Amino acid sequence: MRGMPTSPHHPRARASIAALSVVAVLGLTACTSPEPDPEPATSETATADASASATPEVSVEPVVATLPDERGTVDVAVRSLVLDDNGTTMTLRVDFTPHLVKPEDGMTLSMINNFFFIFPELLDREHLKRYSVITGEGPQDWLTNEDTRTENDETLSSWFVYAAPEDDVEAFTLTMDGWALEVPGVEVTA
Amino acid sequence: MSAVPVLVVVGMLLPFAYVDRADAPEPSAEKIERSVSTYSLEGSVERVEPPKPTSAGVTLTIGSDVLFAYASAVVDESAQAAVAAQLDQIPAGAQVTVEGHTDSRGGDAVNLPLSAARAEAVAAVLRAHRPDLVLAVVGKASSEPAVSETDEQAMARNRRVELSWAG
Repeated sequence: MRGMPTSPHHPRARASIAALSVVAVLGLTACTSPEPDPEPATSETATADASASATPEVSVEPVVATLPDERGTVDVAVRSLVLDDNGTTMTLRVDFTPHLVKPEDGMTLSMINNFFFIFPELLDREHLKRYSVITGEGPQDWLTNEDTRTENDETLSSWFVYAAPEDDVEAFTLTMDGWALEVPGVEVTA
Repeated sequence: MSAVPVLVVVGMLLPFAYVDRADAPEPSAEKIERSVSTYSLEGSVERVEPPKPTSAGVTLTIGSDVLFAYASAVVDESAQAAVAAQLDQIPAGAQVTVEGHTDSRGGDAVNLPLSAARAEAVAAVLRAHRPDLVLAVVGKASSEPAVSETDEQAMARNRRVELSWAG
């Protein structure tokens, strides 16, 4: 039996932030602005910061997942699993490169998975615990860049946020059961 | 009001409007920080819960994914000590039923032998650590799902080993 199909994703964050930008513009032209807030991080800034601080890469060999129903394969490369500065979450970064028999243009991870959501799970077998992507309040609202798209044979860089390890764990096993995929030895770095 | 300063400010602000865009290859530090208050950690970590009263008496449930590699019936070496620790909850000399359960993927041809083999693997851990227990071992395949299989997480919950004894 398969999972739930995706519904069209609306860029809620973009719409609300764009609306706030318009409101902010109107406010700035109508009155004297207070001392500006510190510059928020942009994706470019975040990328620059990441390269400057060098997000540690895990030493895990890329693996090839074979999709069900002879739909093709996906190269899966775990880039990092990092404990976030807040101390309560950790972020997994994974590259997916699909090689589908019948690809589509601009594929998300769920589209690669035949339009069913699939996220990596992290297993701590030493403590019999399973970590799933943390969720928001809305339906189908997970902390991941699920709308990221790629073309066939090109890499999709994904990130997923989980609760920080509850125990003294050095490494997790990444699993995507729908793809019969297990990647052991994914180390947590600070 | 001149439109020029408005356009200038909009042009300056627009890049920041995409701080948390869903397709960014990296989460912004702000989004990570906001995740703590916006998103809930509750339920995101599945662990072995205390034994619960059931129709079979008292049942301890352990998810199969934390015990076995995909399609394997060998208890992962790193999990064995944690499994043994769970056995302290079983009364001395109890009659224990060890049931293996799977999700529905693969059908009975795969799941019946797999669930039986997994139940037997866990039973072997019981025999090694609790030789006082009297065991009945059975594979149930996907015949008794714990939850409806609506998504991957639900299927994971159905993949389990249950230890039951009279309460």
